[in-house]
Amino acid sequence: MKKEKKHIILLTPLFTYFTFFFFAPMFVLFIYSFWLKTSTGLVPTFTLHNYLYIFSNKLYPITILRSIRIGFITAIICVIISYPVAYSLTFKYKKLQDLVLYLILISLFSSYLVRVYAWKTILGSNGIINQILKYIGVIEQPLTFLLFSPTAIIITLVFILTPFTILPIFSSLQNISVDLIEAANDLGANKFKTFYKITLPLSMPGVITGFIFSFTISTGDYVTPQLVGGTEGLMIGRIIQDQFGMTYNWPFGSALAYFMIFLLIFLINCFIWITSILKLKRKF
Amino acid sequence: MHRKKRNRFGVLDVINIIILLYLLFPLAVIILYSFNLTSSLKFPLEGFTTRWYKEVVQDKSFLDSLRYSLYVALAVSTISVTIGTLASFALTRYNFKFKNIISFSVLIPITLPAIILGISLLSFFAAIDFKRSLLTVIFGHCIFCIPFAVLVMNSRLSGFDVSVEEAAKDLGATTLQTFRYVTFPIIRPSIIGVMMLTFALSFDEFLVTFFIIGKRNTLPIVIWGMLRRGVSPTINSIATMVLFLSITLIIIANKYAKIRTLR
Repeated sequence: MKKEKKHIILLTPLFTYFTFFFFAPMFVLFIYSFWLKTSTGLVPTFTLHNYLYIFSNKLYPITILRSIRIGFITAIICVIISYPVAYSLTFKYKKLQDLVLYLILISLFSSYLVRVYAWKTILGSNGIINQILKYIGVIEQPLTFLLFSPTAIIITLVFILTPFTILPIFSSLQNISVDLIEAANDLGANKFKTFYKITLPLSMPGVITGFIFSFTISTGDYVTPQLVGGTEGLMIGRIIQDQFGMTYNWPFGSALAYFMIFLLIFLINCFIWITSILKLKRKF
Repeated sequence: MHRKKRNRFGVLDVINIIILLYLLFPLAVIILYSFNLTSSLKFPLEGFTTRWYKEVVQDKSFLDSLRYSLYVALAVSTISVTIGTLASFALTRYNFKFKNIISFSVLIPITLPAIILGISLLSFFAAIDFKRSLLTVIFGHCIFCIPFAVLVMNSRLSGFDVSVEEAAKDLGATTLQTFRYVTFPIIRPSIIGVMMLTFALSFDEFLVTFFIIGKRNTLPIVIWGMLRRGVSPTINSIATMVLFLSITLIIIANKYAKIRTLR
């Protein structure tokens, strides 16, 4: 009896905190998305106008699609380049493991703004790449297409989020028992077969976690497109921020935010569904 | 035979080195240019100076923002570690209804894009007419720091051998004494680790802060202002100092609690 009560006491601070500073704010935001902005101010009402308004102007669907495309490409690249690092950390680098992990953590926890800014100084027309190319005589005029493009956004986001995807993949690889891999080898499976049949499927939870993290964070990012994206790299974060800043149309901003949340949840579920189908096919 | 195969330098190592260079090169660039003699980003560098560092440490807005950031981060790490540890005890030691839903819900704030946390808190504080200040920033930061605190504490507490506590109680220790002399010393490294981790997360946070900051600016907000105004060599020196502060925090955090178990 006493024990049954204890967990409630332990969870009360968490409950209270989340109710006040997470669920209540998310609820308020949801309510705002049904209000209306008029010339006199915000009108409390119930209308789907803000949600429908997203499709009234081509700018919004195009920006949303661009954000999702950039987020998706970023997440895919993150997973692809994280996997070999996580794999080597688990199975190959026994002595180097701590050092490599430290290097990854240093990258992960160095200032986010600074890391975006670093790419601005690297890719810019006066940036390192152009300076080096000029110095060694490859080009006369600086290459201007490097900065202010969706490509620049992807390069920067992958740089920022790769450490974030390495960690969950690494931790799921660590949970794989070496006996299982050795058993597969003993039964005559070659390296690649062992990888496809054993290692990859068992590390899928980490891959999915890493993918979801990098996908949602990059799709909704604000700083990177602002600093390295230029006009071609306008993303949804900027439009949402505008509604809460200059334009002062909070209801529309809230609707955009919730539209994005629902879209992300839908896409993530599609992704999980696809990976589960692929796994099933491999089994039979 | 097996071992030889593993230690051979191969394609995988080349790929790893390229990826690590990609992850570290930009940081090296920042550090290098923070000592550059002129304000332009010329290659090769034009000389060595510590001038930008001297300018930064005399800049009042930088020093103020540093103080505010440290204040916020300290408060956030204290609150997060307290709430996170208590919740983690409940989630790892007891079985109850909705446990899975709770474990899952705790993680939602860190899977949402930060901008959504920012605007939801902004709307909330506006709706209840709560003045924006460093206090609202602290409230906002805890929302994404508590999930990390729970994650790291869970990984520690799930491997905790409860029999040592039972032994203490059998020997006549009260609940409080058991916690003070048995449980706490065992989990202390993780608590220090979580505090460093949440401190670093809060100290670096920009986007949520951006929406809920009052008149007093934290360091990332000041850095953002500088970035918007254009490339100034003082940014590089601030960045380098922040980088070394984060590295110190992370090395301490990792020494005490293995952050690698983060999932």
